[in-house]
Amino acid sequence: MAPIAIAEHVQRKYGQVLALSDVSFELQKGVTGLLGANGAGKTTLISLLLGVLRPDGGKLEVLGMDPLKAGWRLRQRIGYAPEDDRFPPDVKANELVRHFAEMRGIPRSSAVLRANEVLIEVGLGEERFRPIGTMSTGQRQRVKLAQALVHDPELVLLDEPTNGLDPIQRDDMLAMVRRIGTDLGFTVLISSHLLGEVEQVSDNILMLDGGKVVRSGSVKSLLGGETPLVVEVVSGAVRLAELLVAKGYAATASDDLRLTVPSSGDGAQDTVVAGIVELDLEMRRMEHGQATLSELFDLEETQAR
Amino acid sequence: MSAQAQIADRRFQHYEGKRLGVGYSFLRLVLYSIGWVLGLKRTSRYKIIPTLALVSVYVPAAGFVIGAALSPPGTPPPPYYAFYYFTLTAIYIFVAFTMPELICPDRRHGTLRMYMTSNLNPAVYVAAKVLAAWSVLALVTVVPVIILLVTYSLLGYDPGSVGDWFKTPAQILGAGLELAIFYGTIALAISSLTDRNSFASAGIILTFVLSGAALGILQGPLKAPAWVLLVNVNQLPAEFVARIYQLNDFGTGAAKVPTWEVAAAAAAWVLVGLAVLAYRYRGEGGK
Repeated sequence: MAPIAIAEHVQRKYGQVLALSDVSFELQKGVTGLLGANGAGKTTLISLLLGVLRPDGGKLEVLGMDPLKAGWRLRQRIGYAPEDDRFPPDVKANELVRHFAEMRGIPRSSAVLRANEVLIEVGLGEERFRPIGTMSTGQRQRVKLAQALVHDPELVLLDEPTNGLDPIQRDDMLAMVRRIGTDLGFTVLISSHLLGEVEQVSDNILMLDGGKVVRSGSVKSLLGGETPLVVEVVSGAVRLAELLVAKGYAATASDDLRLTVPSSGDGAQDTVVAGIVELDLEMRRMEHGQATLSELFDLEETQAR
Repeated sequence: MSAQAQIADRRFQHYEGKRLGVGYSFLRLVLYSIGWVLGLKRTSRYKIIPTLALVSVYVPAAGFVIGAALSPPGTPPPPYYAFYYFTLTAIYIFVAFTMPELICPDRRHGTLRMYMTSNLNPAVYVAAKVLAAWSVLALVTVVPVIILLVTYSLLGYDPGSVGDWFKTPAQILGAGLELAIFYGTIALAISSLTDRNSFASAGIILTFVLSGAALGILQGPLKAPAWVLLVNVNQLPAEFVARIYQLNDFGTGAAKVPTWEVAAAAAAWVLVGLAVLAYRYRGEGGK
């Protein structure tokens, strides 16, 4: 399957500051999480994909086109939801979404229909007739999502869509993003600085740090089928982790009650039991669990140290 | 249950219809911006200023019409250019309070970035906003005078000859559009320097007031030559209106300045305004 976007050694500077350096990746269909801390280059990368910024080096191709040369022909095939949600407060949601459908080339009669359909789809039924200024942050985020989907784009770019949301709203938004990528069949690039969020919705991960790609690939391949050993003790998990590290296992204790050992069927289980006996600890539970990306990255950092 | 009853599929459908290009989006933005400035489909507080401004321009026009209708036979009606003597201040106010609304909120609310990721690019966006500004201002500089023309024609006053059938409408359109283009462009250029409507309005009013005051001082106590009118954004367009109607001057004492210089200066100011707009929106988006 052809990638949706390809970047080869892309570079972008702001004055003397290198925002993106030697960035290469292939963006596949499905939901891709663009992960990185603030200032890692996520928004710059999104702007390059949209063609609103010019790369200083390298080659970028989106939907088979050069974003700079294709101009509006590419942009009308991309949906974009910016990071902030400061929409005009007195405009009704359905009016705003219809207007941006027209700005992406959808004829007026279809734009009215599409705006209503997509607003209902993102969970704004009767609320779609309300001025945006009267809406909650969560509802405004949905409006933002709706305007990115209204013209049925082939690629949807969501810049930090969970910003400013409370935990319940955030989970709802992530579930919606997941559904957009699976049930509705959109290709989505969602940027976030929270690994847990990205992991929850993404098929693939593109991780930026200091303007460079530090990891990329499918979540499955990054996890590599690991089923780490999760051990819970009454207390002393930290001491047990230190003992296991001394014996060559990359164990990490999340607190004094729980630790994780990357399992490889090479006697880790026996070593853990022996350690518990040696330290005279009381074990509550030991089982193979599904690794999360954050645990995996923690383990890799431990191993690197 | 009726035999005709059916379940309507309300699920999300992918769009397979027509997708139009830049020209269509440009036109939609022009129309949307005109409606936006006039407060259409917006809450009532956004309708107040445009309504007051329109009333303050159309009431004098109505006065002209009533005066012409009630005046004794043989009495000539007020000339078309006299309309601007009564309404120029209202036009200034309309310009100062409506033009910032065309572009400031887009920066302030982040919608500018969304426009730049649509069919539009900076040049198309600016062109649409400029055309919207000119169109909105034409509502107060052209349409009332057209109404006067129609009324005078129905009352049998004007046009007086076959030649006037062409000359009078051309003067009305020329003068009205000149005012709309000049004030619209200058006001948008000033508005592009900020994302706050209030700052932009204050900037426009200050520009007009200070420009007029400076001319007064230069031409009064300082005895500056007549051509200083050309750098006065307050009175230059009105002076141009006077020349279009073949008057000596618009009460500015600038009769000695050749008409071609007045026209060239007005055009230069408009070009400066467009250049400021182009500069302010450079690099906002892609191709």
